[in-house]
Amino acid sequence: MDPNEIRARLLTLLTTVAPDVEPLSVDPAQALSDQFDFDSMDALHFAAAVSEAFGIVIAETEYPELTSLERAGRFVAAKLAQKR
Amino acid sequence: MQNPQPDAAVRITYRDAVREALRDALTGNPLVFLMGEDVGRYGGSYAVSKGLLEEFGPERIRDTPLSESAFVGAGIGAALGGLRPIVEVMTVNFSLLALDQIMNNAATLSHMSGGQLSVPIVIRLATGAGRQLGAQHSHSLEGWYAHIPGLRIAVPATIDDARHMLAAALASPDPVLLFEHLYLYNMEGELTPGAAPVDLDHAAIRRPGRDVTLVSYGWSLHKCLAAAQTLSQEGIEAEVLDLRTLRPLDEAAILASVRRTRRAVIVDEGWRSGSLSAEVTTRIVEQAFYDLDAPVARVCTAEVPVPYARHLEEAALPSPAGIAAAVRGVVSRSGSGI
Amino acid sequence: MKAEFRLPSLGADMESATLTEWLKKPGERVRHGEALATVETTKGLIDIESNDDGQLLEYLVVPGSKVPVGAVLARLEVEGPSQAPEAPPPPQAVATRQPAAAESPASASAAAVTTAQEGPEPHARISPAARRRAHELGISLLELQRAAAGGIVHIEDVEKLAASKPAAPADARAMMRATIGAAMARAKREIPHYYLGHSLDFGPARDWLTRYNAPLAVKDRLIDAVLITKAVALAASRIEGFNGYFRNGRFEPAADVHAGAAIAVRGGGLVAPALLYADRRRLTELMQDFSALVTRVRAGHLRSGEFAAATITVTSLGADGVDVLYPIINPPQVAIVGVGATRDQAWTHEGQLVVRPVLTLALAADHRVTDGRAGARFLRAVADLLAHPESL
Repeated sequence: MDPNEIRARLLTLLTTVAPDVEPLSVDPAQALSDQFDFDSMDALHFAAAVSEAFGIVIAETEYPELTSLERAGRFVAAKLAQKR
Repeated sequence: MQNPQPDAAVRITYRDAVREALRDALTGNPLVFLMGEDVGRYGGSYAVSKGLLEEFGPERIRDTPLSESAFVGAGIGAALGGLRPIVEVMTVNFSLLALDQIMNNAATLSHMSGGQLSVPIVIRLATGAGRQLGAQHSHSLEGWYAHIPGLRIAVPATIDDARHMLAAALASPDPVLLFEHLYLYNMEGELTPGAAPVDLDHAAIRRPGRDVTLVSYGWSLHKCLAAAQTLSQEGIEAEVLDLRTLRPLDEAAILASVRRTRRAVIVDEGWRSGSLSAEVTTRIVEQAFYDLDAPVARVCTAEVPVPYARHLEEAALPSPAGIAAAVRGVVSRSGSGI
Repeated sequence: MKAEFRLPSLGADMESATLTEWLKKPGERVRHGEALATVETTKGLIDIESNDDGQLLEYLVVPGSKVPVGAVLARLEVEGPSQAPEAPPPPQAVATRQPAAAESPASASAAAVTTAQEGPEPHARISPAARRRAHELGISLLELQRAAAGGIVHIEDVEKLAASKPAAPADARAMMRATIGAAMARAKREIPHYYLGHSLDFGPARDWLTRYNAPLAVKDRLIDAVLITKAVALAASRIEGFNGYFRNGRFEPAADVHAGAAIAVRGGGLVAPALLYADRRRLTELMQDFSALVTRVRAGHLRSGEFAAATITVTSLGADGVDVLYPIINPPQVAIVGVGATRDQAWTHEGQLVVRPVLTLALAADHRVTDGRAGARFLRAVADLLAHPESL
């Protein structure tokens, strides 16, 4: 899966978890908590969606890897590579 | 009257409730005694103390000469000496003969002695009009007494309060005047089993409502409840607040209710000028002005000595119909009040 | 028997709502707890639920109408006696005593024209409550005078005028801000708050969570907030004076603990719907409730039962938060617990200086109901519960 594809799927997941987020307004580099007032429950919902959609295991200690869309993209790519 | 099952509700009259309260007080504390005109052999002018002389003896149920000033003064002396006197002044009308004792001695001694003396006297008085007793026997002077710092004024309007307020009054270190409206003595109702002890500080909401607060006490409370029933059929939900104590006034309860309903009608059998109803109105206007959606209205006794003739007496006193009309005035679109 | 489906009060500050959508049709069966309609309030869209099992007979209000709390929205045919409260009195009374149709739009608008030409009257008769509400809603006195057409302006007229103005999205945000402002101003005006802070070692709870969560899929894991909410709810059920409402000049303890969870709304504002029976739900159930609640807040579809129900509130700024959050009580509740961020700090444990994840809880409670000593007991109870997470 190429990085753009991962990023597109992450964005879809994000708007599923947070339907009140306007997808075009997301800054991939900025932390989601700062952009959209993400709280711990939003973070968990996002992590659960990512884990399920990509079929990867995410430990609690790895939640910080999902704080921004860009960072999450790199993390998912690495996880997928590990899996293979 | 013995209640075999402490948890079962009992139907009794207001008169019986007051007698039970007296019996309790006399049984529970050897320092308590009752005195007044005709309280012993005759059983009280309203038959409240019937049977107590036989039960407790002449030392503790004392008939007095017809001199209010003398026996109220004696009661104050007994209280100063450490006893817990309950003095029955037959009606508030005759209490004027003891006003000097009540106002200049009972109310002041604790303050004038820097707290060294206290006057824990309880004075019970029948009050009110409506029985064709003539002007000089139909006064409602409880609001008048509520003017005096140093006194506590309590007005039991329900069976439960008739049964439990006396104990709270006896527990007070200050003189307490308990006003019993003569219309209430025959009222029958259920005594709440295991009711919590009452205090002399809190008003009570007797009927919740959203559109207007009816502030009242004593016999007028029951007129308000009747008016609220009528108004309810017109879609107006009146909240009925029983003041219970006129001094101190439970200002917080009055304000909280008015802030919710935004309208208030004060109902008082006393006259309107310089009165308790004026005091309640002022406190609402002083502290809840911005919550009001209509001017405060009052329903009081007409400013005349209470007439003797039945139809004139009825016309002079607050009535459920008059209360309902006043409420319609404050909730109406024109907002003209009454 | 016939029953009425009324607009419930969804908070002490709510006076009216706009019906946006019917979710059931006349003739359809409805069940207790099933959403019948969606209304828009200053807190967003809320699904309101039926109190009865039965059949929807007819609508009495069309979408787009603004109606006061307590107004009858529809009629139902229910099985057995209706569970619905007869006429729920709104916490702040709006007159529901006469139908909106009692207004005469023709005469009002005719008079409005003349007043507009003459300019504002120098002594418009506006009730004090109406004046204040107008100020809160941003309605000018000039508008009020014109609408009143020479009569007296009551609070009801202000509400109607506000309802007749189309609400732009920006206004919705301003309305939410105004709602929060009104509730908090009332809290600060009426409630004698006292504040207590208590720091605790969150290590045992964190360790327990890590062990519990490790084997689970992300969606089944618990978060800190659930543990803390459960601990607060349990403490509230055990220690008197923190669970319930201060109304009518006195404290009314609540029979059940419904823990309000303060949830931030994106773009500003917050709501605090309730986790029902929080003291008696298992952690996994509470987590599911909490998760569903946040999802509904995000989707703008809260349920009516969750709104007015909270008997005590827990608020947190989460991981990005600050050390201590001094909360403000949400009236008519009497207590709220602010949860600070968990940070590694120097901590003494059995005489040794160690580094532990430390969390500070701050309690704001109503001094008319409890004193500091009871508050301290309450906070210690929460801390004790969190020290033994397995017991939650």
